[in-house]
Amino acid sequence: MTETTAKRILLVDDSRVARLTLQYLIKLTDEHAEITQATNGDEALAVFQPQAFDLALLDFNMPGIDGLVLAELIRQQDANIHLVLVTANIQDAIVARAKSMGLDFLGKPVDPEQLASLLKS
Amino acid sequence: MPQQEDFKNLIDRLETGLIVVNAQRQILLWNPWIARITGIAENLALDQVLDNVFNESIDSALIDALEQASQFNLSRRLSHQLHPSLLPIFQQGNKEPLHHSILVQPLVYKQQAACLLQISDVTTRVRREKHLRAAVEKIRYLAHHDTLTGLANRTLHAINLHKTCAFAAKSNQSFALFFIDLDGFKFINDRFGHDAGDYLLQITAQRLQKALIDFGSKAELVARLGGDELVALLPTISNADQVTTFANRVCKVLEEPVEWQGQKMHVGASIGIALWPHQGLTPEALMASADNAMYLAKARGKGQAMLALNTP
Amino acid sequence: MVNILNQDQQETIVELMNIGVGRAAAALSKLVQDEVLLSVPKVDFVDSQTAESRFTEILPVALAGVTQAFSGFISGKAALIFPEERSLELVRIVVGHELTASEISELEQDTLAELGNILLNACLATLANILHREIRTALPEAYSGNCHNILKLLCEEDSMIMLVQVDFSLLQRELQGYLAFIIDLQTASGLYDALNEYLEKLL
Repeated sequence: MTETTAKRILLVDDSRVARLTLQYLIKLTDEHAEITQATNGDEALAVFQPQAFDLALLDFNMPGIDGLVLAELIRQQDANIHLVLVTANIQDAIVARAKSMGLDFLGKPVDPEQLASLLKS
Repeated sequence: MPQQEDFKNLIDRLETGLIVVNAQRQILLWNPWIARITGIAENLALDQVLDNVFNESIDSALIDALEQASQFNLSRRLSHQLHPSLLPIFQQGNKEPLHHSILVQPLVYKQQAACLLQISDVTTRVRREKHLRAAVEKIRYLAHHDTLTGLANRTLHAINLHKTCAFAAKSNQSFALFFIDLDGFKFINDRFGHDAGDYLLQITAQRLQKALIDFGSKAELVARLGGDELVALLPTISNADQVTTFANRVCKVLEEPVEWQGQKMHVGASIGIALWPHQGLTPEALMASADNAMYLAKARGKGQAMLALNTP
Repeated sequence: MVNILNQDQQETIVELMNIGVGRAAAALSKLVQDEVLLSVPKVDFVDSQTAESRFTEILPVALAGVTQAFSGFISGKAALIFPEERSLELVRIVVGHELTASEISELEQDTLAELGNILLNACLATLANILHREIRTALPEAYSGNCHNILKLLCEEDSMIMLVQVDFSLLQRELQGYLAFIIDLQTASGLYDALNEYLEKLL
């Protein structure tokens, strides 16, 4: 195992429990991860800075703008950020839409191993 | 144990298929009903894996249900409509597929976790519903069509006209209504008899439908209101001249003689035309305008089409 | 009794239901071969005394749907509820028939029961799996009636009722459905403990 610098992660979900769950799972893999939380798209855009995050985990179904629109807005400001859609809506149509926009997809309940491999990539 | 014997007697007489399998899908119970249907005796089925007994042709939904039952204790109802062939089983005698639905439930059997499958024959229900559906469709057809000509009747015409008006209002797409009355039809009945009159109406209906299809309308938009009164809807039109020219052509088509027992029968047709929105916005207003125009056409000398005069 | 759960526990239920309904929608989406649009589930707790007035307030008069009993770390009954005139819409979309409400057939009742089964199993199994608990479901039954009848069918006195409202629509058709989970008060502590255990790990 090689030591890497702590991942900087933006976590956007309107559910506090969902954010806590993801934070818990991230810490299982990477206890040094720096996690910034936002509860919706507007909050996320307010804290977002280009090159400030390595990874953004975005819920799909949120009040206001949805996760895919948010992904597009973030991508416009930062072409290199790793974007992941995290949602309970695991329908093929949603997965396909996320993939076509170049996002990774994590279905809820989040599989810890799948999350770990995303964090390491 | 006499009590156990009693239970076995009951199970043996059930008119439902019962199969119990363990988590590896090995068969623990195989009742006489399923033995009879499959032709596989109990002693041959017991301890075999369900998939092998059915030659690996079990619907994947049933496999899923069995897995969910043994892993998560979930009961599942598998309906015939969603899964037309869960198991490859056939009716006795005619070898047609046996329509069935299956209930899957987790249970403990012989001290081990197992799944119960209850298979019920729904063949009679499927057949009954097929007849019912056909009957309902026939009733619906009869309620909306004229039995002599097969054209839409007054009721269906009212529905179609209402829909067309609503669509026109939404899309601002003009359309035309024809009110058609045959000239000299009474004479045909008097001279050749009612059978000949009926035949002439049938031929006229076909000719009218064909003309409308050629124009880009649909056969079901031609209706017979009764007697020799017919109506037609032309949902996409460009202008009044185009429609009037077409209507006059229809008059000519309907004037063509009809052969009946070696004799030629001649009738004519007078057509009144009403256009949406100028000659009426509502179904009632359009019908009144087209009717008036048809009387004007007749008064002018029959065998011709006439556009309604009124403007809103 | 109505505030038996604190906000964190209630939020956990919402999130778990969200996941369960997501699974259910994926299953439904395959059956209708189209995308199912989902709302965020709305979860309310009511006691049986106030349940009837709440039902009358939020549910249409004539109801139809599917009920399914469950037991394990929590016991009770789950129900999928539709306004009666829409109840077979789902079946018709799936099997493509166009009969009117008075022409409901036995086979369609069976199909409705299975569709409810798929949705309710998905929700209940998700709840149990994520909370690392066991739950056993019974076979689903189709039913119809008014608010009062259905409540009587679903619960005894002293039940805690968790009403989960999810709106879903398919294609251009509007189809609003409700999910209700009626939990026996005797087993409510099972839910309480499971939620606490889940939250303790996170906080």
